Amino acid sequence: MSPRVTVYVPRETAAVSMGAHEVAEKLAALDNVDVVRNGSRGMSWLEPLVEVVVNDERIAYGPVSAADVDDLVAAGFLEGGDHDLKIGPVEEIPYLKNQERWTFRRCGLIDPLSVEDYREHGGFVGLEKALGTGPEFVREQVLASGLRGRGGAGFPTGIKWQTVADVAAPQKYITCNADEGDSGTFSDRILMESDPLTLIEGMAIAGMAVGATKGYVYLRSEYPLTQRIFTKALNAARSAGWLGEYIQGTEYSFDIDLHIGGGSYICGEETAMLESLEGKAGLIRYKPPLPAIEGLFGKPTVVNNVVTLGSVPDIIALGADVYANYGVGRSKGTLAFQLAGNIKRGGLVEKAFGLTLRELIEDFGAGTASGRPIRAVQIGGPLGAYLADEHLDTPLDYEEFAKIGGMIGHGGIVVFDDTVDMAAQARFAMKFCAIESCGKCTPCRIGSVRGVEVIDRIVANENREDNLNLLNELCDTMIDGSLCAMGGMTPFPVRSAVKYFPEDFNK
Amino acid sequence: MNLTRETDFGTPASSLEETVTIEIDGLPATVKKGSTIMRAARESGVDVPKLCATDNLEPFGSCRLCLVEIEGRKGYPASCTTPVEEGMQVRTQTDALGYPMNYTNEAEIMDEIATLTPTFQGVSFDFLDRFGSVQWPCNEKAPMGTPIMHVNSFVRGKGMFVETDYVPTEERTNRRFPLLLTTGRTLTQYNVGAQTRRTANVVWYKEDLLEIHPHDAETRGINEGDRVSLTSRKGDITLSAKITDRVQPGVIYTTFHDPETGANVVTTEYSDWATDCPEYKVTAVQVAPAVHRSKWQDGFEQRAQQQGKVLDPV
Repeated sequence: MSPRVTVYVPRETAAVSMGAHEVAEKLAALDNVDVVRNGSRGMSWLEPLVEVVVNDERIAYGPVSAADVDDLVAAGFLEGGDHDLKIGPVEEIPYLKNQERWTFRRCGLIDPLSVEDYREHGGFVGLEKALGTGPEFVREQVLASGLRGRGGAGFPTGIKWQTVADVAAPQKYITCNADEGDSGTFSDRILMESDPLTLIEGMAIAGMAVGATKGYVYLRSEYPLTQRIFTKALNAARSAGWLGEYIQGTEYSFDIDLHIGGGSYICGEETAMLESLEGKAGLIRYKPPLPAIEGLFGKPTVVNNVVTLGSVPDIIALGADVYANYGVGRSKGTLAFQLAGNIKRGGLVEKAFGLTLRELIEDFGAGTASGRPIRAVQIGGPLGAYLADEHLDTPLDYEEFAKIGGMIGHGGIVVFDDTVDMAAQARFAMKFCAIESCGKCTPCRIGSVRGVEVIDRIVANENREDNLNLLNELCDTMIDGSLCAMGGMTPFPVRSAVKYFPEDFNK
Repeated sequence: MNLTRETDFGTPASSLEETVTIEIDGLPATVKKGSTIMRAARESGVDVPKLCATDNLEPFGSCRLCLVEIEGRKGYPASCTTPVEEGMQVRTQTDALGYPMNYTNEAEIMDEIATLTPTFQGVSFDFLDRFGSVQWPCNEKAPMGTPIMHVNSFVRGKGMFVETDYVPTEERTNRRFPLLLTTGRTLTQYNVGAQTRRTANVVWYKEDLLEIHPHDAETRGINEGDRVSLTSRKGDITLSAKITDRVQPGVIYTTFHDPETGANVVTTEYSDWATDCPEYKVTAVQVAPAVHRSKWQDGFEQRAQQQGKVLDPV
């Protein structure tokens, strides 16, 4: 009887959508194979990426379909045999090797639902240390690390936590924004499916740091698989004593509820998310008061993104200075960039701030999937500016991008080739706002509808100059008058399209 | 049916007693802590446009009509949802808020007035420089002005008079306010004196005086030139007494030529039914010797100084 072989097949959404379940079933039917359902390494174009353990080394094959399995077995892939789909040792793949994995370092490496596996790879070290050193130390470390909100706004996490900690209240909350609705983004999903315990650990640390005993994860409804995986992870953490009353026998208690969103983009805005968590329609709240002072159910509330909270455990475990050594200027640490759109190698690239957009798109992404030249890049979701070739050498840094009128946001990068119609993209920006606006404030609710109409008139060459001026004025009104970033930032993609690609409005 | 006209302050009143002072369009406003900028503005007589806000509702922040600028803050906060803070400088009318004020000199302002006010059309700084004083209107019919507006008849013929019954005021004297105050003008000054107090006429008339009959003065221990307080149900001011039998016993008289005296702080809100002409001749008051100026007068001087700074920055 031949020795047993361990084979990893991802259970993450992208891999599953490409047939990973079928591959796993077929492999599990072989009598000498132990299938481990790991998370994703983030190399989406290679999914399902199957890894075979040969001499303690993980050899990658991909993308593997169920139909390939017999052929692979025949080629001796269980011993690392050669095959067209063989890539080699997974850690040596340049796409992965050239990253600086921090938050996502365990993604794809471990079984996301195994607390033992997580512990073996440095899991819960941060929470253990936090429970021993106390809330002040944790807040100091987070502040010193320079960590900023990875949801898009880039607000210093340490300051937010300190604000919540400073308010005296009988109940405080940690809320995690997993309403990942920006176009071209999937880092929250990859973390929650591939290493959910990291988020759980980060939230528990946040809870003890600010004096909150209750956490909520607001997950978008479009991620059903994430819901299943994360629910199991919560149960696993609870059974192992890392969640619930008196965590690991200490004085600190913390538990998390998973809440599924109703399918609205605007609930990714923090105040609309809080309204939705309270069971109301996702309408924007005006600020002040800040959620840190009066948030969920009127209590002091931390609202952080998945990646922000997921970056915390290792900041505590390894030290704030280690994290702060990554990055440039005021953009410390790493960001999980997500390559999407017309790109050959779409996936997740966690790198320290400071590399250029071109390095990301050309060195990691290998250019467009269509093979045609890049014309425009949108970074930061549907409210981010469209950038042209001249901007691609800008270093990825919050402040540098602000200078060119762009924003890094949640790190989603959508690439367009030279067949894109930028007037249609500008129209889409307004249309998207019209569909997704919560409707509370006038500039966003009505401005977006009028924006679509004005762009239509410009494209149809009706009083083009007048309508371009009108569009500009409308953009001013939306930026200055809107209640939140939805209406306030929709003009960015519109204006950048008009500014950098005027020929598309002049046909 | 009566139409009740009540001021809508936009947002509910603050329940706090403590006050803060902010500046709205260059003028100071002292309001209760916890008020919104919208309420503070309305309380100080500045109208900020609004659709979604009203006194009876908590602010909602929806219509975005009430945006203002605040010194040192980014963007354009909604005045209905922004609480006042001590020392805040608010501007309700700026270029960015849709009220273009791109004037480079006074002549441009006159030109704008002339385009908006038919009677001023044809009047400009240049015109006045060339031809000196003219009398409006200056139009096609009378390019050099109209010294006499109506000759022989008015636009519709002879003046029209309508008979009406006498409706006495509801203001009454009582033991607390036993005297009747009548206000009026003197020959040498005109209204609040903006045009006449800067002329040599001040030699004849320096300040508003309270004219009081010798009997009324004696029973109150008031001598010629004494500082006295004048109090009605509505407010109080102080001014100097002039003892004269020009007025009847029980009636006192003063003028309203000095804004710093504030005669209309004391007068009532009553007005006539037909034209809303205010009742300035009958206010029940009491007079007593005084040492200090009234609180209103102190505030007025403070505001006047601050306005002076705006006009003539240091």
